[in-house]
Amino acid sequence: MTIVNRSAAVVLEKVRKQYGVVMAVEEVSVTIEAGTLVTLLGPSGCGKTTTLRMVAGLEMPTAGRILIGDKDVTLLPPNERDVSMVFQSYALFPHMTVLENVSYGLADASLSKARKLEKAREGLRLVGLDGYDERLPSELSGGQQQRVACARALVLEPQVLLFDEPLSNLDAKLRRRMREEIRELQQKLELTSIYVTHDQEEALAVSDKIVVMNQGRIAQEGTPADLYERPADSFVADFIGAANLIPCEILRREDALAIVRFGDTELRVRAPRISGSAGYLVVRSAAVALADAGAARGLTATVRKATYLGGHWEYTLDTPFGSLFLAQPVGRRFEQGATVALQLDPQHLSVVART
Amino acid sequence: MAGSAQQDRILLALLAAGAAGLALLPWYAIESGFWSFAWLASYPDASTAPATLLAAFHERPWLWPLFLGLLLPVPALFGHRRAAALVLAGGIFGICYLFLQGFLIGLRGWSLPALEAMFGPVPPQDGLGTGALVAGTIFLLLIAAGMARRGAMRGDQFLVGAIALVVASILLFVFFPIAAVLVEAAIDAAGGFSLGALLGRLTTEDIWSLGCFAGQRYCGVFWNSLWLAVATGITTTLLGLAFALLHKRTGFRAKGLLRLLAVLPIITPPFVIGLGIILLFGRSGVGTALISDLFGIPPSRWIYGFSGLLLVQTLAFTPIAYLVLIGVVEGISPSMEEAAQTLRADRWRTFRTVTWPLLRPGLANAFLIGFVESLADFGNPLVLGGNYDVLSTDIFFAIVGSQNDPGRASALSIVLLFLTLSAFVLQRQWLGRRSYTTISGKGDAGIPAILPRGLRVLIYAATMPWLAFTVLLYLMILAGGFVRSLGLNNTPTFQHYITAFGIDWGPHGILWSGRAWPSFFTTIELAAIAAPLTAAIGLLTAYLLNRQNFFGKNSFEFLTMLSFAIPGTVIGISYIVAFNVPPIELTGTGLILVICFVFRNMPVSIRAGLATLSQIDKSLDECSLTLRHGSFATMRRVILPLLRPAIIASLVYAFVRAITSVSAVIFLVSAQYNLATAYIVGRVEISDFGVAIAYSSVLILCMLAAIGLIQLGVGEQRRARRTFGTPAALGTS
Repeated sequence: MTIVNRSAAVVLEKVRKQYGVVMAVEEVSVTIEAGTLVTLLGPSGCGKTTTLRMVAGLEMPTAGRILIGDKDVTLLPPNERDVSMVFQSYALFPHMTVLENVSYGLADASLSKARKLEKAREGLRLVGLDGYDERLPSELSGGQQQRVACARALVLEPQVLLFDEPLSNLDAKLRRRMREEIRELQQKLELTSIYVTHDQEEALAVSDKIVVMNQGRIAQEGTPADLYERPADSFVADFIGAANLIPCEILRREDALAIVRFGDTELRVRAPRISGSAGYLVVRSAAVALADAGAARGLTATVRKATYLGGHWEYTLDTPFGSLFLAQPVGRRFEQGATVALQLDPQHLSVVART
Repeated sequence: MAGSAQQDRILLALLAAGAAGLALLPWYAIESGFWSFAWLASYPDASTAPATLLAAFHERPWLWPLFLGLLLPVPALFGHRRAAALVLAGGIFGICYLFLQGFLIGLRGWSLPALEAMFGPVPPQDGLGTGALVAGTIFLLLIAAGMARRGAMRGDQFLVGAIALVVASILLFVFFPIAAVLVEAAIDAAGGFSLGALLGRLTTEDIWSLGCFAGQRYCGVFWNSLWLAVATGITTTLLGLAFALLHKRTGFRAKGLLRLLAVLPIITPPFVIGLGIILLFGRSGVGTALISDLFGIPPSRWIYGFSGLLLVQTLAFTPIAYLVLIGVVEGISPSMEEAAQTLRADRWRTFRTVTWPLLRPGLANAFLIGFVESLADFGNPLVLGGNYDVLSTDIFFAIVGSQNDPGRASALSIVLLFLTLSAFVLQRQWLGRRSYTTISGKGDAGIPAILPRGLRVLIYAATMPWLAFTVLLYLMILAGGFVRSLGLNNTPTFQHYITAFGIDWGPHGILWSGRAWPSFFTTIELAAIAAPLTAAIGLLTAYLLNRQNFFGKNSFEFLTMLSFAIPGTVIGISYIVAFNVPPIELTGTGLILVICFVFRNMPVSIRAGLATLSQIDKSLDECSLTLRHGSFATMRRVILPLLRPAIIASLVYAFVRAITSVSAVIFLVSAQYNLATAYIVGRVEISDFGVAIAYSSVLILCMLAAIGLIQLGVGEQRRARRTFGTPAALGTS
């Protein structure tokens, strides 16, 4: 292995970016531990790509500091920072061969030419493309181009590796495979990586930590499980895993639990950081079990729509507290129009504030 | 903030170069030319000394403060706290002082009497030379370095320097001369400035008289130019449209002929069409004789005047309208017309209600281009104008003829500039928002609608005679060189070619005895120097406009495009006015011709560059930046290789236009640096048509050859570098 790990931590301190009157990033402070993969996740226009580009040096922050491995790089141009980036469009130079592309960044004069080529070949081997040296990018498939882009970034042995929506130009099947490969490579080489995506499933799959951004600010950061199970607000709950949000009233709190009421039902659920009396109950498919109306106790609901998707059923239910959208295993089938009993598992429920 | 090691290295290099400019190189322009190095023999006397020696020993102590510009930034090298401000201040002071002393102390000492009274007499100054050029450039780069240290363009010194150089050169060689023209028009007989002189020149009867409606023979030149330009605009637009429709919407087969037609005006010196017409329809023309024999119509001078000019300009500029309109016709999505047809519209209704309205903005655009071309045309009115005076030729005669009245020439230039700039602004502001492009870039499966039969007949009827006429004209020009005097004496001869391009064997080898050789070699040499410079500056400008954001970018873009609308005649006159006296004295040199070529043809390079750059994904540059390459290395290794098509186009265009241009350079040629076109115009003026035609034919053939060579040379080195078998097992993913 000649690709050496030189990973370093990245710190963003109160970073802000303003274009004229438009505020692209309002304030972002985040620490990325060395050797971890952190995802910036959010809808388009939330400032995640701008944040990434500021780490790369392609944009200058309006205010704040950026540190890579304890060194302040805020004012350094991109070519003097020890980062490399995998672009959404791959940005392979069309007039250079695969090998030339991969060795392009090895501009260090102290490296001999033979050494550079050897290193570039090593990078290609790492992504499973040995033997493709002399191809032009136009002769590669989308997935192969993606790998070349990764190899090109890897051989620089950067302190930080940046990914800007690297998989968005691939089809669904390939996307899944590539994201696993990227994660494997990152873990094997213990690279500090910042990964931008708008796909929550992708974020959950690859990240050590996810930073959810909304309108130029950080909405929540935490491990994938944190975000999924303990969303900080309704935006995060809705954005990750598309939960059903049922308006509820928070009656009182007992330690980390809250007693909430919706309709005429009272429940005891997790509510780690919440104050006030108005909330949303976050209901995901996993928290619900459906049964025949007569057979079990529970809330009653009517099936408005039932869609068979092979692996599971998708139901839209009419309930006294609004409509619910749920996925359920295929074992049991409920017809459209049927009345069903709805059982909630408080273990999988949580509450977020309603503002 | 103190600079990085690299910034300090560059600063040191700049200061060293600046010091060399002040202390070693000759400060004033050398009469015999810097590159002749003849000046080394007398170095360093008063005319060849550098600024230091001039200041110390040759009574020019006012040059001392220039050093302050280089001394101010020195503390920055030692990590001074306010390094950026010091570097910036040094540059700004240096460049301001350089120009200030240049303008205040001229050929006759102080240029303002008041200053002489105050400080006493000073020795005169010649035009600035190599030393001053180096020092000025260094001061400019110091400004850029200072701004980069303050964080401009992400601290990228190369980018700030490039912007500073491009902006400064455009200001100096496009806008300073124009400003000089405005000033010149306001100088009265006594040599002072007066608004009265300006108004008097701008409102003279010669320009504005409407006498031709009141029974006098001629109207003012403004109206003459305007009528001709409007008429030419209309005829070229209609014919251009006919050709565009012929190409794209009929079954016409000889499309190669149309493509040739489109290339011809680019490689034809502008007055050659006029020459051909004289051969055909002049008093002793072939056509005139034929008509006189057949119909008994006596030969007349009808082609010398409005009708002849309209005919010639229509011939010359229709191809341009055709090129513009072919894009417009192609831009109309066939599905639009198919949609109309499925909505029960017949062919006429489709054309009238869909095709035609979509064409309209393009037609207006083509009209404005024809309008401006006609106004700017100089060669044809010079050859064919007769008593029909237009602005461009009037400007010429105001300055070269017995009048020698730069004030009048300047005033006429202002009027001409006003007309062309109005058209330009109209085109940008009004048409800019009205073009419909209905082709979306996605595949469009439609088939263009067939034109209605009546229209088709009309198109053939309009285009075929013109096509035949154009071909006849060029044949005439080619043939004309091989007969004694076409029309009068049709004996075949090589005499004209021998006169122009004769080669003898002298005692010392080849003797270029032909009279055309000197101007021919000069032309090729200067065009060959100017073409790469034009391409370089134009493409650099395009890169800055397309890829970088900086303060004042929009006005910068507007100004560069504006220079496109300045007629050649105006550029010629403005260079004479601006660069005839110190501090920048360039007239009579080859350099002024090269500069003129560069800045006149640069807008086309910019456009070619912009078009290509907008096709190159910006993330390629960004990627290269994150891969440890600075912006200069990125440009060299990524942008330039991908820009190759634009580079070829710019080189070809700049080279060819430099050879064919007449209007600007005819003011600037000198005995030592005469150009082919100026020489030919001179032959035409004394009715030596044979040599003129022979020379023109040679030029046209040379340019065809040059285009071919450039394309071969720069062309496809890489494309066919490797060949692959079809990779059957590509499927690792």
